[in-house]
Amino acid sequence: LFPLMKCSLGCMSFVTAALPHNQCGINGLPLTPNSITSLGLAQQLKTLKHENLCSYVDFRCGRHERIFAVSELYVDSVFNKITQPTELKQDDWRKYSLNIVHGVLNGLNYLNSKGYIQLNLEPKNILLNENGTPKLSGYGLHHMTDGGKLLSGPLGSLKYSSPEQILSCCYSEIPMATSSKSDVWSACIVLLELLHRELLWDSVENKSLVKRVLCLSANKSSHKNIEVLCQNFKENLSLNETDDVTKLIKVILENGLNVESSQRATPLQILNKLGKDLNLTNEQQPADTNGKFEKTVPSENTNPLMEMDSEEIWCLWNLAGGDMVAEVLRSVTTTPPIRTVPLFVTVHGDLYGLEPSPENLFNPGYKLLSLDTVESRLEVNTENISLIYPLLELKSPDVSHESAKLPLLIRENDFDYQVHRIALYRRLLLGYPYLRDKLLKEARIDIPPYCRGRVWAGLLDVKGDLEEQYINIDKDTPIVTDRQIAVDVPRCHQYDSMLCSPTAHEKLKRVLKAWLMSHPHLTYWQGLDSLCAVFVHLNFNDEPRAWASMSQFIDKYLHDFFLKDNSAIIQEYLVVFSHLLTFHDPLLSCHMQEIGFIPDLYAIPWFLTMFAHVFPLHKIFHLWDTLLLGNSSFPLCIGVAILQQLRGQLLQSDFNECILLFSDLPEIDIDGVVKKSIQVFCQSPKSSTFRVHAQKEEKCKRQTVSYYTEDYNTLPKTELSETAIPLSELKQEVCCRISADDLIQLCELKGSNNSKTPAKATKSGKPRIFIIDIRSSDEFSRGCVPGSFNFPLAPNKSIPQLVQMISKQSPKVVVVIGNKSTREDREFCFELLKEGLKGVCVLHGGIDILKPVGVLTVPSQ
Amino acid sequence: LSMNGNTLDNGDRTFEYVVSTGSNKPIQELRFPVNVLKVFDVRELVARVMNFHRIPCFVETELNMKLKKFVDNERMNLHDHQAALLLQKIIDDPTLIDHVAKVVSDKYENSWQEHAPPCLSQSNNFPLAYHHLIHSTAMQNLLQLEKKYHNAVSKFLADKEQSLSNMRERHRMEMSRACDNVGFAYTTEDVSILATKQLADSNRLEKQWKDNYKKLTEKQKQEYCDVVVRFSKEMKENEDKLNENGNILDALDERDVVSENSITVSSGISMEESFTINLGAQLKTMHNIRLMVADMLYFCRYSDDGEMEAQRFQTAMSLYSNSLSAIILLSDKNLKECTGIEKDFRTVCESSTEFHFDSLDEQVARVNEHAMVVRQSRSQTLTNTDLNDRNSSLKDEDEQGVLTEGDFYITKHSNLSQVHLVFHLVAEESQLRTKASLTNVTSRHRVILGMRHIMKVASSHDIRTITIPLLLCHELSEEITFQWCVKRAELVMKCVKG
Repeated sequence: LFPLMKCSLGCMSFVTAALPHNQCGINGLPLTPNSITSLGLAQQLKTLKHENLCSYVDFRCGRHERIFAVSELYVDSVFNKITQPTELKQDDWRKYSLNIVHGVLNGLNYLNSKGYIQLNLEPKNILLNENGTPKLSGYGLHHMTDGGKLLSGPLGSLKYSSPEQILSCCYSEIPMATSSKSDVWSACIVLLELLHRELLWDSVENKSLVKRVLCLSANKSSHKNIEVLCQNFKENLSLNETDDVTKLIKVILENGLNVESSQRATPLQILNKLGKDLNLTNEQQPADTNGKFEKTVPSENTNPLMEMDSEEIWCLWNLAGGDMVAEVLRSVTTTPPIRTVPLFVTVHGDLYGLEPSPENLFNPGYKLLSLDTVESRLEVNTENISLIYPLLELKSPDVSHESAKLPLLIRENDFDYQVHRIALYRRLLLGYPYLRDKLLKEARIDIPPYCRGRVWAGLLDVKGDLEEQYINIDKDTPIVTDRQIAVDVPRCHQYDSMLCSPTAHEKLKRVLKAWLMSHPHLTYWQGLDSLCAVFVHLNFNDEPRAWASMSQFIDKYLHDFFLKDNSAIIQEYLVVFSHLLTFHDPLLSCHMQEIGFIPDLYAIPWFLTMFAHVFPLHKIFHLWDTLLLGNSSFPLCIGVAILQQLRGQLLQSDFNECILLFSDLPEIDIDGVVKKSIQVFCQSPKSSTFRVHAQKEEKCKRQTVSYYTEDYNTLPKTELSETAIPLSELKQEVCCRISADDLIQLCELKGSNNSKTPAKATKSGKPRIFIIDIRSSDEFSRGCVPGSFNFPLAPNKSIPQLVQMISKQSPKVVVVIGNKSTREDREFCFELLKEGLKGVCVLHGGIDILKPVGVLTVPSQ
Repeated sequence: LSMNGNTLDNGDRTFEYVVSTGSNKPIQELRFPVNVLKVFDVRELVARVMNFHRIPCFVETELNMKLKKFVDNERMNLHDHQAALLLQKIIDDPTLIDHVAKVVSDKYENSWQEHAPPCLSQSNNFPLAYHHLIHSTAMQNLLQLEKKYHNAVSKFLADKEQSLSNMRERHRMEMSRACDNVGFAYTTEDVSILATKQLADSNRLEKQWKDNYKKLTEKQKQEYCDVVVRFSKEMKENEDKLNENGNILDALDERDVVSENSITVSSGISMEESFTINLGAQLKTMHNIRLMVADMLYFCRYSDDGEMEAQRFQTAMSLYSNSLSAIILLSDKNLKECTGIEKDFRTVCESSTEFHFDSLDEQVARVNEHAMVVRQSRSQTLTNTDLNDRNSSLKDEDEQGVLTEGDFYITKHSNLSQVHLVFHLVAEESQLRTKASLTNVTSRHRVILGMRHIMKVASSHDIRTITIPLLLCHELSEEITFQWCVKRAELVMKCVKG
């Protein structure tokens, strides 16, 4: 970790080169705008962290092909040091200069080791933090413009450009001449300027700048170059002294100012050469190291900003009402759109008469984004210290927040609330997996968007050396599904500017292939791409985590859905779904069955993609925030909730209208769905969603807190449990089945049950369960479930009356008990449903299953 | 490895490695291709190779290291080699340095703000000043000023019409007198001389009016610009307040205010219906559709009902904003002579002075320049094909004008009632109106293609409201049936949606 240091944020923006207007990509889709390509490339830059770099925190894509890159920013720069007078003596100044360049080389070496080059190194791009540590900025421009290709002009200031950089700007047929050695050249020019305290070739026009640099190519040795360059400064500087500092300076210059790239050293080579004397330069900076040390000692008035990393600060800056795009655009003169309209366009789409607009010109400057608002708002919060520094093990004082009751969307945009949530989650994530249970508990309240990717991985119980596992999966070898993936990926959630970049397409492909390779028994079904897109979007710079999260997610919620032959699994899922719908909304269910609008017609993409194909990303996030907390049956409840939201329309529609309605699903209120689905979940007996094909063992065990924390599919099976019945038989069932053990638990037949259950929604009173025994009164009198109501089947009995009677008691669950062999209960249940009775289910296995247990009693007459 | 000075080095290399366990005999010799420019993560490649060849895991660390080093070295060599190639160019021929200097400095001039010629950024000053003023208290003044100028032009046009019709009447009288007296006081020659003289007269008079019109509008435009600049300066100096409100307006002749509004026509909307639709599979975007039966130029004219300022208000405020309005007019291939709706459109445009942009004539003239260039390049590409074919097609174009169907040009306006931009889509309207066009005009028709490009331009230039002739014609003919309308509307709607 780097020493705590106050940083500011700054934003640079530029307009990417325009694309030809009338062309299509090879796949027939429109070309990706350069700004989008750039946005995708840029994401990787966020992962670069080094003490000599200003880290990037965010990238945005604005209108008219404009890219905004937000990074750390410091006000002081080497440019100021060169141009402003100093009090340091000649010797100290040399030491200082050497230290700066040493830091620069360190930064460059780090960049090079990660495969990046800067190519626009200049004094203005070397910023200095409070300690005077040099920090490179703007280094990402080369990478995010794909080596300058996405920019209409060249990168970098001419004066500092190496000869090969200038030449490659002219001869595009030799594109790969530049390397980290070009940066070394720039660093050396900066060093010369620093030593002379004067800008080289100040106010010389571009043409002669190019000539002057290129004329150096006649010199074979770096000595000659140094000599020539030094002559261009007003002040004469002698490098012939023999003290250590001058020697080291000479080492850098002599290795770095060779015209020929092959003779020039890389940053690493120079650092190695300096290596043995490195201690010396550091030792001579006692003042600096002391300064650093003092800063790390927490002072009385702690500034929480100092402890946050820049990405967190950026997140808060936005929450505090910052509007970066508007702020940057204010400083850019924009041409009103009416002036940029072309004059004439041919039928082929060629544009004529476009006026050049000045804002498209490149300006490497930064716009400072002030942190004052964030700071002052944080100050208010420091009064309640336990909110910013929450205690996890000890019971901390009441941490509830006044915003906690507000709707999610407001909470997500509430500065104070998010400060606390982020602080809490930061600690929880540091303690993961030890603190997983606490994480689950907090996630039930909400998950801050800032750390959703990591929290989800935690909820899905992702752990281990993911990177190692991921690297070992072969993602390169072509496989049969490549073609289908290549077709689907460019059509998957493309409204999102990040996901439609080529970088994202590549990542999606890799993660998908990695998943396929690591699950050889499963296959690619269309829809997997949508599922994958969600995880890739959240873990854009962490493919291993995206892959692992997706694997866990599919194991839990979509177990065996991606088998080559998944019809049995899906069929069972859909039948259970329609049973659950019947349980909660018998009228709607009856109507849909009547018009023949069965779940097979609309619900397969819902469940196969866990709604990721149905909703836009921001809605999926909120939906899955809750989904991930539920068990493997929870998605069924979401399905029911969606149908209930469309209830009014559905009840009035015939088959064709329903098909039309679902082919282009209307806007769904996702908060409503989430709330409703929780309600549906809480009102369903857990055995009612039993599925044969569900995942049998839960990998991530949680301590069972209540009735709801158990997933019936993963509970150990006894003779009282639900058992598998053939699909054809399952399809004949009209309503869902409840297992004997579930019934016993709900009716509290074996001692009272403290926790909440579907039948006992409130703390008070008895379970609200109604048991109808439809056997003949003879059989009933020989033994029945305590409290059950005997309603022997007879043709003349009025069902509506019965329903009226039951409804008066408003039970949550109505259990119908019949004989296992005759199955008259189906017919009976159907009648009940037609009357609109909610909560109807059948005891699985009939009365016979309860006989050995000893809960049956003889009814008192 | 040999690179042989190949500039198109794609970075393919072969890596060799011998797996050994310390004994003399190597276990395995590995040799595999690696692209040093494209390799994503060396460790992934190593993992693949190790899994494929079943190499014992203790080799992994070293193999990773060696491969990484190999890739880094080869990549650096490649860069060095290319750099050397570049340097060799100017060492071989030092005179190239001048060429490079020119190319490179031009590139910087064209793309870097600090190196660009300064005049570029000036042109936005007037629009920005105006945009600021129209959103301030000065708006009222500007709109009043505009109205005064508008009335002055109206009066001028009325005078012109009067004077021209007077002359026509006089000519008619003269001519009829002459014709009546042919053989007595006049010979046939005299009559033809008279006719020539009359023609010259009327031409002269028309030219005179035209020149005067130009003078008037230019003067107005100049004054207007001066006012805007002055207001803007005052606002800056006085913290967004004007010095003296009525000053400029008093200078104008009060009598001008009373005018006969000769051009404004009340042509309201006879039928109208609005819809809101959501489009998109996952993320829905909301659009408003307004179906109406109206004359296309309704969106350009000022109508009788309501003050002109009220109608100008919205349009003026959004002129330099990110929310523009446009209409599509179907126009002729010929740019010079205008007929039909274009003619009416011209009249509307000329009924008041264009303060912000070039006049319609000038704009069209500039379009013509570009169109000529396009036509030239089109005929050049045709040279490859049959010569006769080319001749005939060229002749065709000569006859029909410089544009082809599906092309469109865009004119900018600040003096129309509801729109800022007009797309002039070239179409053979008479053919679009026939019964046969029902089957001829498909989604691949040139006009539809042009329409797609219009939508693209509109979306990329902040045009938020666009009005489209839904049936692709400005007048109805007898051949048009209800079925025809439904099908055409569907075609256009689909095109717009796409």
